[in-house]
Amino acid sequence: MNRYLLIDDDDIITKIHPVIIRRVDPDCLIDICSTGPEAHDFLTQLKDAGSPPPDYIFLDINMPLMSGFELIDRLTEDMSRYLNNSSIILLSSSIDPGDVKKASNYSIVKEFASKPLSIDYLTKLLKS
Amino acid sequence: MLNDLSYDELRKKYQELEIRVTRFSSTEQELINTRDKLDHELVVYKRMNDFISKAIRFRSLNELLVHISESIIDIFEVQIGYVHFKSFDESLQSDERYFIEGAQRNDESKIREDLNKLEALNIFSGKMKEFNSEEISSYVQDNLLEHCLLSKKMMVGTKSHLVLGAATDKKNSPNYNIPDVRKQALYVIFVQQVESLVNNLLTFETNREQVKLIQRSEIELRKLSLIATTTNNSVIITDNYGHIEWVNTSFEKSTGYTLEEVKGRKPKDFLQVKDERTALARKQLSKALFEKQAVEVEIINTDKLSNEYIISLQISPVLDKDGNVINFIALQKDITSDVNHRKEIERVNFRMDEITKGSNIGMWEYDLETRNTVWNDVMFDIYEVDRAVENLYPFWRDSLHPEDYQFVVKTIESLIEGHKRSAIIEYRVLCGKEHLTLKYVRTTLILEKDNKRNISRLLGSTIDISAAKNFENTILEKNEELTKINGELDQFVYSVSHDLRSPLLSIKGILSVMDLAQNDEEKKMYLALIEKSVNRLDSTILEILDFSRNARLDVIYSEFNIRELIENIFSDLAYVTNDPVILDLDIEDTDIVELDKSRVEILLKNLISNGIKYRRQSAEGSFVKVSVFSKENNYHIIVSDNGEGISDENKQKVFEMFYRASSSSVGTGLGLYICKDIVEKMKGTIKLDSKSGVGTVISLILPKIIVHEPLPAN
Repeated sequence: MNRYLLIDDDDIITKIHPVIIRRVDPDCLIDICSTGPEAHDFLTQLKDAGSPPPDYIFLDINMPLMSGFELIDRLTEDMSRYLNNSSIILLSSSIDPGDVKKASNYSIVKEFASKPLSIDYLTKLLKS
Repeated sequence: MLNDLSYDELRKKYQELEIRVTRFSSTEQELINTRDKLDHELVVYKRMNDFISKAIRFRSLNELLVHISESIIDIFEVQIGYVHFKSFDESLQSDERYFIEGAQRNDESKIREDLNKLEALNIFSGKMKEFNSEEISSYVQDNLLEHCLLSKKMMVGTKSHLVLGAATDKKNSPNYNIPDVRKQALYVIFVQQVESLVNNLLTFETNREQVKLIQRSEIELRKLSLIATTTNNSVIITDNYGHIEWVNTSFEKSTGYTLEEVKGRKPKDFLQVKDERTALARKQLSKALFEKQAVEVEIINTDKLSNEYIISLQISPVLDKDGNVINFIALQKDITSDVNHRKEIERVNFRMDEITKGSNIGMWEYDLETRNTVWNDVMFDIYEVDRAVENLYPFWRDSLHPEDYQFVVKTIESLIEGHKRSAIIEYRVLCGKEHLTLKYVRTTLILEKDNKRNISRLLGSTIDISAAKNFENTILEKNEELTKINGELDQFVYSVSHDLRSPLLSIKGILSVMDLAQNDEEKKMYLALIEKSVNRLDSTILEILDFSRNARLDVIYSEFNIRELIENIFSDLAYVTNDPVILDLDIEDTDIVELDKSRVEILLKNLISNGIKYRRQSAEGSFVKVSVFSKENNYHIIVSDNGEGISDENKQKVFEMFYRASSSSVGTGLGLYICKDIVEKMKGTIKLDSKSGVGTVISLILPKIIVHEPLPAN
């Protein structure tokens, strides 16, 4: 059973994306965090509890308090080994070339995708 | 037979005999004496003969004169021989020579002086004069001489004279005879002999000098004629009246006349162009020739075909030893092309000067050895200093901007070291006497080497590029500004597109799941989400409009009721939330203010909505307080709340574009950025004071419209 973590400040997205994910992967576990610090706390707890890390982490770039990139910096620092087998996918509403370039510098980031998640995209992602 | 004579007769005869014997013996004695005398004279003559045979071999006057002074003693058997030669001819090396022999060493100079005094009496010109001790003593003091003979003879060409003396001093006089009459006759002969000997020698020396001179002048002449025939310059030799005697081949070539054609003619009659161009030169020429002076002038000649050409004419008179002109030698050099070149150079220089002045190009030269520096007028203008500056080099050096000094000096050094021949550099200079005016100059430096390939000077041009440089700097600044603005614009476009797209993409996501909605309730939920997204999109668009309006529109002041404005804004916003938020309005004095109404509305809308959006959701009694008061030339508007507050680390960032400090509500991140933008446009200030978990205070200070007071009447 796949475990998902959605990190996004947009409450509409955090409502819609679980619906879309369940269409493709009905028996899954989805956790939602609305800010970077919250997500960091959540993952730390997960790690400390000895639980397996999420298989897929969908991370919004544009968030208040802590941007997606800032969170990745902290995760790389704290738990890159723990997240070794996790697929981290950056999500954004607009494709800023600067963001794409920046994302390519993080080995921990698997992909860069545009919002909203689509069924096609998720199907391909789960197959790969 | 004797017996036949009587005693008396015998006696008589004896006496006669006796007388005759006596006579005979005295005759015999006389004969002996005469023979001795003759012997002595023979010796003297022999000595004289020896003197002459030896004297004629001398080639040097000095040697001869020494020989004469010695021979005087031998021949005249006196103690002292004296010779004084004096020349009036300046060409001979020594003017006056004394030779004195036989005098006691201590007395020598005294005797010489005394004899010199006696000869100065000039009472024996051309003749021999005898002085005895008394006579001498009457002319000189402390006379040492007992007797002397002096004679004086003028020599060849009356340019010199010779005095001979034979003397005996008092101490030695007992040992010497006073020369008798016969000796004196001998003396006359001796003097004549000496005269001819010395004359011969002098003539010989003069001849020898002349031979040398002739030999030398022959060489000169040969050289001259060689030069005259081979030179490219025309050579004319005239007689003392100016009639041509000889011309060289160059003359024939350049004028077209042959020697035969011009012989006997005067050059000025057929060669010179006589007009006002050469008037001055011709005047100089005739004056110099009249005064027998060498002269050099530039005149215009015509050749046989009447073509004019310019010559440099050099005329030297040839004088004989008496200063009379024998010939004139004229040297003419065709300088037509030189003159034309010179004129061309002058013309080009003049034009260069005009051009450099007109185009403000400073020209300069700097001698590396003497440090002598020459500037044209433009340089002085660039450096803003008057032409009286005495030492340009130190002034120039002091003018260099301290930060550029090393660079300029290094460039010059590398030129001197021969790395390259020229350089173009730009640097700053501090102009004016006090070095206070900053200017930018561009200088071209060229290294000039002299014939020996030694580096002799630097020269070049300098132009004032301050205007261009300042313009360039302005452009650089503008460019930097533009780059910044461009970057901001890019960022703005991405941020705006992000903010515009996210609600749309949310709707897209909702639509993708809506078709499979299980029931109406679920569908209603999706529709509500869509409405929320649409509202957010709408508000984002409105904010962007506000932003662009602020940028585009001028500030317009008008009077309006601020209380009404605030109440309307609050009632529009308050419905957004279900939680009660209280508006606390505190307006001092009047409700009517004069400000830019639409901008104030945007400001208050943003600030009040922030107060409502970021209220502490769990807390009771959330409020937003707005205070308005006027102080001096400003309106103060303070919006405060008891909401979430802003953490210290975010305080600086909240005014940045699209920065969102809070996660509790969804904002665009434009609000405070727009506020700041508007306040700046209104030339006011915005200040944020906040404490996380306590509340936020935002203070605006907006200047009132500036009313120009009417000028007081005179």
